[in-house]
Amino acid sequence: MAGSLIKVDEEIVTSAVASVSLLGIDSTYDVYQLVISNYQSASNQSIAMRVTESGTPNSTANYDEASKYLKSSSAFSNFSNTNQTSGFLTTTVGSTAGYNGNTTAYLFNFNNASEYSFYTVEASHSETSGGVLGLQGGGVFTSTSSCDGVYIFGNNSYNFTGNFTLYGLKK
Amino acid sequence: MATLEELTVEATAEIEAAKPLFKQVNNERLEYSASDYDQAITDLANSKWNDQQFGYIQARQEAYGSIAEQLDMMYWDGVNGTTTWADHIAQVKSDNPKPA
Repeated sequence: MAGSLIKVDEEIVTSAVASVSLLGIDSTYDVYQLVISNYQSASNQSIAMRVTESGTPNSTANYDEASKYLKSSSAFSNFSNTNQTSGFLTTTVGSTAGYNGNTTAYLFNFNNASEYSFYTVEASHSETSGGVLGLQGGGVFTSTSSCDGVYIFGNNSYNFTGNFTLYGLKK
Repeated sequence: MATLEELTVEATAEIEAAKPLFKQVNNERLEYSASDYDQAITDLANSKWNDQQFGYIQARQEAYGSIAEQLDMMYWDGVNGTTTWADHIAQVKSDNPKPA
């Protein structure tokens, strides 16, 4: 259906930063879509996320996740973790020019204060060894809070550039 | 093997060297606040800790041959009386040691 994806927030980062916040999640939509494209970091690192509450990232140890890494240069592998202080949106993205990170995540129940906040992750990028990597997975923020956005950062706190967009899926 | 405290000292030095760090919110590029810097140090220290403590798990998963390859090794080991499969597993474990 035309017009079903409504842009809520967009941050085009051309001067490198160490974190980006996409805000504007409320009860208007049940499901939101986060799209990261052309992410490039000065150093090797993974893209991670936290939910925001009133614009402030929640860094409590309430993030559980599980993913499958689909690698072209080595065997596929699994990754899972509980009670972390953030969730991963990619595994390590290489810093070499052209090793861009790209991710789509669907966000469920983020604004619902009586449910946990769930998300799926689907990523494609180049890793440090130069191989192509796909990632399929998901996670949950195990706290019943009303979240209004996502905070995106590199797990090693390095600067990065890229395009970061948050859409609402029209009901 | 470094303690989390030692890794935090290391992370603090790295963040100090990387200053200034910026965040982008509402299309505004702002320098990190003191609490943002504190969180960045904590995140970097935790990342180093996780790599040190658990990085070998991921590395081993990627270094092991596929199940089909390992079954093939076992078959030929049975036929020829060799130890290719056991050698392969031992090599992966030794290349990616579990922290003491």
